[in-house]
Amino acid sequence: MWLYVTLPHLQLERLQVIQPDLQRQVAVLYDEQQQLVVQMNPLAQRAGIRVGMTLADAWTLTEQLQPYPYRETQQRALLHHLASDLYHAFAVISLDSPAGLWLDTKPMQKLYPQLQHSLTQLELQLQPWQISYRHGAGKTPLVAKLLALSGMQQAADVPIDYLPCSPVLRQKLKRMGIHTLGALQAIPRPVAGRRLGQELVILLARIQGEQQETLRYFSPPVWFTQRLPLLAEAGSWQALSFPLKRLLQELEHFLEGRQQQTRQLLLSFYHRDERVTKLQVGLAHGGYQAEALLRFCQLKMEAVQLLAPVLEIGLQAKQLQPRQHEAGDLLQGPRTATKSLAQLLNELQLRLGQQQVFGVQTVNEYLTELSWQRAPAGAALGNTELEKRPPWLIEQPLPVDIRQWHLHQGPERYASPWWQKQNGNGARDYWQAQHHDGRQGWLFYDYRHQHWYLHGWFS
Amino acid sequence: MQAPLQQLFDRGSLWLGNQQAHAAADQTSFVTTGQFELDQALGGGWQSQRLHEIQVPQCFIGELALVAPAFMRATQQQRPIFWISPPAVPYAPALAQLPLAESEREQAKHIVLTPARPADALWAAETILHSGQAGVLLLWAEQPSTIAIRRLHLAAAESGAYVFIVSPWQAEEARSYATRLRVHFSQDGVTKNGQVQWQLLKRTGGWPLRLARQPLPQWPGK
Repeated sequence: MWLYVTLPHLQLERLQVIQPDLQRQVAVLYDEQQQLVVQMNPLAQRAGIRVGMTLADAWTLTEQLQPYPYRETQQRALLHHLASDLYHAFAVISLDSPAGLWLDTKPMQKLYPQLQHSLTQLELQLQPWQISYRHGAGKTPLVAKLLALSGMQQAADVPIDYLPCSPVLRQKLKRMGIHTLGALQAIPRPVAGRRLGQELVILLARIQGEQQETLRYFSPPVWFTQRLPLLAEAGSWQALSFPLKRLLQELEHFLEGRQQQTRQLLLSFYHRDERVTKLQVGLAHGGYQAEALLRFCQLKMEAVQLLAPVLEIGLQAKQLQPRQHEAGDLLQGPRTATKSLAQLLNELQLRLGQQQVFGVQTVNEYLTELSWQRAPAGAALGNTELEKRPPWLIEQPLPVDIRQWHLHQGPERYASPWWQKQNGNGARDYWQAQHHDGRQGWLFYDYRHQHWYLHGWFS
Repeated sequence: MQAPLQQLFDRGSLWLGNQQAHAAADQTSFVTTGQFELDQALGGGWQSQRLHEIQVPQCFIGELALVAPAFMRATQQQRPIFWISPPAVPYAPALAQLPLAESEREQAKHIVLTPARPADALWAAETILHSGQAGVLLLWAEQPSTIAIRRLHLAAAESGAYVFIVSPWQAEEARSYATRLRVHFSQDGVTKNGQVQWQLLKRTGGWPLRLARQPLPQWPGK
């Protein structure tokens, strides 16, 4: 059994969800090249506007018309997004661009034994979208589509205007007095084929299911990419934060379904003159909650100046990864933490810069410079075999005047291995030494430069 | 005694000069400073959820040794240790030498922040404390303002962390610290070894105090 869902006003209705004022206006979407009305809202319908009417005719019907250009790419993206939502409930989906899709109920028969169950699921999935749709159910994809488009209950009642055939053939049928699919099917197939040609035979075979439809099946997207046009130009970050929140909530929904988190957000702000401001929000530790992501975006946005008013926002989420959950300790009682460590580190890195926040980690090496490394913040310290090392390290050893120092303990000789010896003898003698003011330092004598250096401090 | 006053006594925010602030012990916990005399003067050591100031005439004169036991406590609790604008890099092998069980020692988390501006450093400290994640927070600041200290004091009150602010010698005007420790650094006349003298400008449960001279405290590693 096939279900066909048609969404005649998808793009406009999504626009209304984001900009609720539109519901009180006569709004239409029009094709920019042909100046034809493509989608409209109920108020427009009440004003007498129909799909396929020219924009000029629509203006004559009402003066309060709010026309917006119809964007085909956006429509396709919306349909894809919708399908990925429906994918939660239906395994086999095929898109029928620009405004419909097929669902195969057969693979889901165990879950939804009756058609009514499938329809309930469909309603549940589409409810948050706040869009109007019509559906039709049939034995073959084509019948389902014809029923959905015509709104008829029986396949036999479908007017032939809805048949996907050439205008010539439709004209011929009408002249023969055949107005419904039922009337057409009543004619014996060989007779009809002889009179009306090959095209009709193939069409009837498709309707009967004797010929397979070639459908391209939908597979869920790997990345999250969305664009959102704004109703009015926004000139400040503050005005952008509301629509941005909307996008982030959809992202959260997307990530929730996959139990994933994102590590990189790419925000694009489209300006009137085709220029784009791009903002990259890197999250070292991943995030998925809209609230938290919005805060990170705001932190980033504060640092950048908005050069021109924005017409459209784009959001892309990259570097998706499985979520990591912080395990609490049952015995130690509830933690007092108000946010997770990952969240905290994200916030710190966004404000201070990625390089400014790091962890330190031991490395299993003998040489001083190699025995530690900067690690991503939050990494565990690790273990070491080394002994008698100072807690402070001066990253760039400072040349010192040895007369100010009094050597205490040493030497401890460090020689770089022979395979690293190409720049001469790199041996060093390390000493615990005392500065003449009483502080304890960690000095070394470098044989290559023949000089004393301060490399760390004890205590 | 008046009821509001009694509340302050119960919280340990106010105390009589001749008695220790023990009432607060159930909410906060003490960790040793590693120095017996200093522990005694502080009524048990550093208190968590409070601000402790360490005033040093110059860096690297044993201030890290005083907070090392707090590092160990935080590591045992599996909470990270934050270093905000330290004067040098904390050297990982030395940190990994602290006398702890190996499994705990390996899992220690030291996070270093090097903000470009002092205002960012204070913001970071406050954010970290508010998050409730930190075990120990160390902040090196040149001249933290009264307001900044007050804000950190409020943030620390619910953080569960040991908070230390290391700065050069400051004027002795009132600040929201629980402990103000001034370190005097000098040289032993005979051995020429460095020695320190701790002056407590402010402490919980006692009058200001100056302790006897000590040899430089040592980092408790191997």
